[in-house]
Amino acid sequence: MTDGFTCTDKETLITYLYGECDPAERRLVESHLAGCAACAQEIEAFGGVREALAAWAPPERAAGFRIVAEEAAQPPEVRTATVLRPRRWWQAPVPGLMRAAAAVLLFAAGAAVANLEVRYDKDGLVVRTGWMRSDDGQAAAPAVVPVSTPATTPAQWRADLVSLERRLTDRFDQRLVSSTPATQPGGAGGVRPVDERVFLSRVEDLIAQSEQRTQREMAYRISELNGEVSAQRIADLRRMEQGLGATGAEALQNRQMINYLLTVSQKK
Amino acid sequence: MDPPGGSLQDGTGLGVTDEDLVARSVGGDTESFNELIKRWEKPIFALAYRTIGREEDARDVCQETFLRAFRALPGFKGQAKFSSWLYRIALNLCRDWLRRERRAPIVPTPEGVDLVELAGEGEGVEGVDDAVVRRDLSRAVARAMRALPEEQRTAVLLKEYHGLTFQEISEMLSCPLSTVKTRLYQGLTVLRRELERNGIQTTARPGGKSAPRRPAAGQARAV
Repeated sequence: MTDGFTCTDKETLITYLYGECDPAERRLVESHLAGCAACAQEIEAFGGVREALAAWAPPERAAGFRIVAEEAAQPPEVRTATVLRPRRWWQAPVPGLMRAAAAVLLFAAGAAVANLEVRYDKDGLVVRTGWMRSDDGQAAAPAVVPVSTPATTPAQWRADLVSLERRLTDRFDQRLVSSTPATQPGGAGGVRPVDERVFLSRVEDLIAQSEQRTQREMAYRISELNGEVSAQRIADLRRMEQGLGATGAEALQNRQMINYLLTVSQKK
Repeated sequence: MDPPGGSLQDGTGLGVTDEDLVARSVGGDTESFNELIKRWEKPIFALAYRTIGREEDARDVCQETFLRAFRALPGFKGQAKFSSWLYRIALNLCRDWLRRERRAPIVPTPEGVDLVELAGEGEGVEGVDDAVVRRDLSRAVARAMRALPEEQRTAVLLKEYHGLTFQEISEMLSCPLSTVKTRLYQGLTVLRRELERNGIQTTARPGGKSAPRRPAAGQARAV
């Protein structure tokens, strides 16, 4: 450099451009630039390029990660494993409304099976299982179960018992009266007693029909319930996926980092 | 080649050099290493971003750089500056990324950049019009940088945005000093051509000859 600066000495020109020349070199370059338009223009253009380069800024957001100690890294890894494992559908949490709806449906199905009738009147709370009733009204009397009666005194008890006895006697008498005409038409060749076996088989028939009906209804309700449950489950899963979608990449990144940290700590 | 703001004046690490923090980190103090991350994550991310051109991948490279450094810390004997060592790891990872992706760096398009935010980055008060000009210029620069061969681009990045000396770049890239200078010259020549092709004037500015910028000026803009 002591014998001057030439236009071909680009290394020195660059050193000058970035201010890394020693004073002697700088003086040589400056005196050359004063007399050489091409080199002066080049150095000016490079200055302009450098100004333009300054406009290119990276995003400002900080990466925001840090190294964590070994013992702190362990539990999240364990937790991550349990969180990331997909749940089976029956383990998925059922929303409250769905649970309530299921309870109502189950109750309705149960009531349908029993053909239940619940009544509360002056006789107290009456629970009646209706499938013992016949369509033509000739079947056995409905089973009436008084669940509770109003509080009574012993005198009332006695009066009740007497009235009950009277009612039973009346009913028995009525039954005798009503059965007499039924036996009369067939009584030309002799009175034929009511065949209890026929009556029983008819009752059994009715019971079987009723059971079939309730089973069909129950199957229908269960399939309906199942459909609703699966639709809700799909909707919930979709919502969860949407919720996880935004953070999926972050979760993956965090997981990778934790894995690295674990390997590092194991090596240590 | 100190980090922006200097290696000694940084918040909690007041008066503590990188080398001190490295020594403590080797001794098992993870908080010291976190302090090193705090000092260097911005420059490393900036280098990765300008090399790769994709923000998310640049973050991955940045994170990977520190993780690799943390793992290799016991083997770091202080033969180079910690920052040079970090830069080298980051550059290797960027090169791996570019080769793996088998493509040129992506031109980052700052369309998503908020103009108000962009205006806020400038020195003093900058209007929205100026911010728009700067955004367009930023895009043109990113496009021009893509035209550079990898070696020239790396030299320009390290010199312009990280304020490294020619000697430091030469050591980091393990190549002669003259090669670094030649790459810089060639890189600036290509950039000048590309910018002028895109209508960016580099010479016809009022004020005539531009004074050579001091390395510290480049360093101040590093991130």
